Amino acid sequence: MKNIPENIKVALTSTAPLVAAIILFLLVGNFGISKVQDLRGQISKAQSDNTILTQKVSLLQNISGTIGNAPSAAAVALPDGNPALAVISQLKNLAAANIISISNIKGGAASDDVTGLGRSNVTFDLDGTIDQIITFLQSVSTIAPITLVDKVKISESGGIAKASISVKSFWAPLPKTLPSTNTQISDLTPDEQAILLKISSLVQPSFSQVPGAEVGGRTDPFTP
Amino acid sequence: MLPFILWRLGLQCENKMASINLNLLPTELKVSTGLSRSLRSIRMLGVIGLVGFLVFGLGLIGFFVFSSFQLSNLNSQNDTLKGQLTTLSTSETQLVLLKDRIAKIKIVQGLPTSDKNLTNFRKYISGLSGSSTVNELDVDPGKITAAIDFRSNSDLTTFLTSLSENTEFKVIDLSSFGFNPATGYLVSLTVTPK
Repeated sequence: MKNIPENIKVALTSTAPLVAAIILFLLVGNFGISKVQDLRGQISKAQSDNTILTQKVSLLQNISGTIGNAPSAAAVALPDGNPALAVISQLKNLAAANIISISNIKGGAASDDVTGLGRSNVTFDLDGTIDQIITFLQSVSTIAPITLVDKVKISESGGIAKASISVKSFWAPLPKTLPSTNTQISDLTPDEQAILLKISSLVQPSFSQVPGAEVGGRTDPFTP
Repeated sequence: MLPFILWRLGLQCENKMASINLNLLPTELKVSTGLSRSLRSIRMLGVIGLVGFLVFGLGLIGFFVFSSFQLSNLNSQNDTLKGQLTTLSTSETQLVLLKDRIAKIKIVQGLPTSDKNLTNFRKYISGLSGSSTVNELDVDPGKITAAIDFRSNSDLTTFLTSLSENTEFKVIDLSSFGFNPATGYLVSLTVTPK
């Protein structure tokens, strides 16, 4: 220090506060601002989550009263398993309602449709007038599970028509998981509500509960 | 050594007799007035910088504390909302199921079906008199094939006229046209819907 010229010493002591201030600004600024930015990022995410959660809670509170039995109607319209039996039952009911003879009902094997859904074909024959047959086929679209008329072959002779029909019905597995809590959920769109209204008006299948056989004690063949 | 002693002596003299401007330093060691002014400015700037840093640092800490409170508040609000969502999980399950089914039903509704073709073609055959017979009617989503036996000329004319004025079909192909005095006119046609 003794050999340092006076000019330099004075210059060093004078510039030291400025250099210290610059270094402090650089160090603290770099560290502090990155911390604050990180915190602001977390706040921004928490705010976005808050908005989504608030909207979700409000939507679910409103919808819980209005949704009614729509989910079960939708699950019947497009079940999670092969609906061939329900379709056959519905076709028989429909034939009885339209006073038309239905016979030779066959449920085809399940297959995968091009849409990615499961598909099952049911074929059957109808006997009646052409008008009756067409009326019956038009009413197929009113039953649940949703059934589409695929192929129709009608032949008429002496005023009596005979038809060979092929219809197809669909199924798809139910969703297995709920979306994460932070995922936005939207209300039913007008388009979805229209579909819901349509499927709610479909004729539901009626299944009768077959009681189990009574279990009787086995009689002892050796007792007199 | 001598210059240093003289400089120390000069300083002491300066301290003791502040009012007297006494400098015994050799002139070559004296800091020039211009440099001295610049250094004073730099020193001032340094002090201002340090004060500025202090203000900046305190502001940063304050903002950090405020943001931490804000985050903690938001997190607690979110936890409350998540709790409410748990109680509404049944409604959420129903809504998710409903949306899933509706999306898939929409796909099914977009599939081609024979219903529409049959409905469209019905009005043309329902106008026929009892004497005419639909020998064969094949309907699939892509086309309609029909073979109709017309006993009367008026039935045939009405049918073909109304069919030619239709708006539902793209192509009507009259594949065969025959006449038998015993059975009447036999018309076979293939209709392609729009």
